[in-house]
Amino acid sequence: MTETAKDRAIIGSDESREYLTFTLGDEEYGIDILNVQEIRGYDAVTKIANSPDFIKGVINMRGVIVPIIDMRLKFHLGVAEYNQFTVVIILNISGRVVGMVVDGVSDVIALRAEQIRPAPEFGAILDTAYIDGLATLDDRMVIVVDIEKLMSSGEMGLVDQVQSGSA
Amino acid sequence: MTIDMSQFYQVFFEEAAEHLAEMESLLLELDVEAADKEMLNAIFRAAHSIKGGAGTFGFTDMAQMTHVLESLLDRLRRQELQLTTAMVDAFLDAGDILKAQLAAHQEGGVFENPRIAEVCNRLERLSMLEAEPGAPVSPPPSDVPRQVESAAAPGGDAPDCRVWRIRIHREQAGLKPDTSLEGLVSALAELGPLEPFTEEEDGDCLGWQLTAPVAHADIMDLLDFVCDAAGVRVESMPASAATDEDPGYGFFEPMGETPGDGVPDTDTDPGYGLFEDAPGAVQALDQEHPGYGLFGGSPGMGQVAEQVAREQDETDQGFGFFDGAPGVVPADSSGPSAANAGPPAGGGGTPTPEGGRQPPARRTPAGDTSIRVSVEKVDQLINLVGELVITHAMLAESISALDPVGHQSVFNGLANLERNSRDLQQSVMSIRMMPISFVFNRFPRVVRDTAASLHKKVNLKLVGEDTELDKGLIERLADPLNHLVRNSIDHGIESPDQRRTAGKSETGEIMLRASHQGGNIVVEVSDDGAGLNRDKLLAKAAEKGIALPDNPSSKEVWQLIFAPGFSTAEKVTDISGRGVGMDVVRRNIEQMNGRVEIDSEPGKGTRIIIRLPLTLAILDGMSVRMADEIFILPLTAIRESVQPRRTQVKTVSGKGRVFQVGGDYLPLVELGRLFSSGGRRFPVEEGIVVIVDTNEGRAALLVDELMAQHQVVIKSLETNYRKVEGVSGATIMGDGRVALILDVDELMRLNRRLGSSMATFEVREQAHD
Repeated sequence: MTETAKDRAIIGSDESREYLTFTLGDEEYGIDILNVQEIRGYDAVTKIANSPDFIKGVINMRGVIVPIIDMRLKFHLGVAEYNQFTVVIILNISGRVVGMVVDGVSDVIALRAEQIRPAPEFGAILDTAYIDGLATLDDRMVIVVDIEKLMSSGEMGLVDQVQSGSA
Repeated sequence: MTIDMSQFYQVFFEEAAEHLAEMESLLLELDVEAADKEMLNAIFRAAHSIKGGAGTFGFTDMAQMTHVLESLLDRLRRQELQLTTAMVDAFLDAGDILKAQLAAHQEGGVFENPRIAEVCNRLERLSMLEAEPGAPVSPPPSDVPRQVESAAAPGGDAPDCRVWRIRIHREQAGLKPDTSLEGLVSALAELGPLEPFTEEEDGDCLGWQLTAPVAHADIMDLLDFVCDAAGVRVESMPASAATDEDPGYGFFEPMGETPGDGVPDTDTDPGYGLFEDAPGAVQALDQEHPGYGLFGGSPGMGQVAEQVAREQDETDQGFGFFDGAPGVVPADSSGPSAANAGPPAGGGGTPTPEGGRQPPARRTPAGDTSIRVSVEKVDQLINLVGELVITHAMLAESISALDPVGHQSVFNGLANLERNSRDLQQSVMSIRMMPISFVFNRFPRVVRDTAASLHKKVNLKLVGEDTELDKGLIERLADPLNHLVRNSIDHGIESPDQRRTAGKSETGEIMLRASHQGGNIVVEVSDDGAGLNRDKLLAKAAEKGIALPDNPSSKEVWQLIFAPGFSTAEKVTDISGRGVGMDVVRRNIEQMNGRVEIDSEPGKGTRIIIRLPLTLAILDGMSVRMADEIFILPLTAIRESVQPRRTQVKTVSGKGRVFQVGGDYLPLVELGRLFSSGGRRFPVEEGIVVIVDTNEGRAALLVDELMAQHQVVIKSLETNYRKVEGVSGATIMGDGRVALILDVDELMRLNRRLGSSMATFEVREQAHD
């Protein structure tokens, strides 16, 4: 009895989740904070041959080789300039560590489920399949991204898909 | 009890697995004609240890299995029986079942399989039936065991519906008067219609008549769980005479119905003359175990009694229930563990609580100086040491700017640090090193079984089993080797007839050889079979549409068998049709930074050579620069490096470029172009060409600059990223940056795909032939 009551509470409105928001150009994105491992500055990367341009390369993070993705390039938001404010969000996606270059990290916000509105179709730039929805925070609009789904998707090429690439 | 014990389960699992492996290897070494007593003893000890452990931890199924195994082994090592191939087979099967049971217990389940009972029966039959000829005394004509056996013989082979008369003498069978036999009765009833059958009223004697299509041994098996074989009579009767009094049966009547004889009065009963000649038997019984029944059907009394006495000393009575030959169960309740009538069928024979709670009487192997450490801990250690080496390199780089004169002590300290960390690295690496015998040891069995199922005669020769290599490699080597060996037996070695016609000895030979060659481990699988058939391979290649040069070299033809889908398509058998194909073998080996070569001569045999690096974790490499990036080229691949002249570079059909060195034209692989690292195009003379060995032959790799030689710690790119073509991994350089480790074989493939390929390739062929 108590179990079902609890379940209902989660489905209901009280439960909110925390999101880390970051900016890419003029847009603001939010990702589940539980996927964030750490935030660090941008270091020199080692390029990886024949990889998509949004994969900047790999870095050495305390002995672990971590691939770095430029989200601006990925979302086709123009060429990023790297300066001292450029940050890398290190994500932990089901055990795999991936770095994500963004323009800046802005905030940690708590959103309740009903605050996130379904997103309309955007076209081909970013498949809505990876977007949980849009949330409004004051005047800002935050695009809530299902980062786990996005990073493990085939189009990111981060994970070996079946017969990806090689003949 | 479960809670207390469970923490030791892992120890038991590991120990039991070791004992099983040891048992198997000993069994395979065993010479059937002249069995070495020491080896039999060792096998027995292994089985006994498993039994002890299994009993203690309550894995009754394993305990039972080993118990049966052990009783036959015990007779063998006492040389009462002659070892036969059938026995070795039965032992091996029993070992397999124990392994399966062990695996099931590890996962918290129970291994259920009809094979268990089948193998148990086989072992028991072997120990009982074959006891006859080997029995130490010539049995008197009225010998009871023989009588039972002979009665069983016809029924044992053709288990059609028969009528069995089962009589149990409570006292002789070692049953307490109040022991319930309901379990037994219901188990018997499962076999077929069972009706109580009593002759003259006798409280001590129980009788049933069973009509069932079972063999004598089956019934004995059931009864064995409950009571002593000595007090049991099982006779077959003609179906028609089921209800009549069997004339022959009268012989046994005095036995079954004279309770006074129940207590072993061996001197007066002619039926047990057998035991008189077994010295010590009577005393042993009289002095120590007055309650023991008679051990009918189980000759070798002396040994049994002796063993019971010995084991009771040794094992502190912990596993009394399982000890000794079947049916050795103390009759009186004062015994170490009372013979309860456990559920007689399949999983019966639960150890009594008293027995189970006794502290395990494990014999600690003498001189055991090793400790068990989980592989993760070792890997963690290796990682840390790797980091230490990197940190050292970083330090060294940053102080290199300092003036050596003023900072003498810093430089000295750093030199010491370097030496120590190298030593540390080496010692830590050696923890992971294991002799290759860990893989090789499974092959006697593989060869034996595979050859037997193909009706071929194959000898296996192992060379260099002590060669040490990384544990990670050993594990990953097992599957490819297994496939190669099976392949050799299936396709390589001819049938005995063919071999005789070819003028070879009927027994083929497969050799597994491991050795160190430079920084490599070389593992060879060679057979003296028919060799590869060039024409067949070429025809197959044509059929599959695999492009080949006009006049391919043997090496190229042999490499065909590694093509995906090529290997066994035409000749799938249950031996090499399953499992991995040759392409997977090659991929597995290449994943280990190794390479595979084939050498074959028609009629003489085939040799497959696997070259592997010593370890997966560290690589000797040369750092090369390409534009701004540093790459590591494995030293094992490097032949030489040359300063190129413009005239050495030739263009073939406009785009492919080859590099002339000596009289050879090698395909020129331009790293800059492959990795499109951008940058300016510069004349060839400004770069340097490294001649590398690939599995397609030599190639020339053009880089900007050779930097230095390093020992680098290999890190996987795939942990967080994916496989990158042309790159086998990554490492961290002294300055903390990541450098990619090049894979020359993949570079060749990449080079070919990127366009210039065909032309270069042809030129190379001409150059080679």
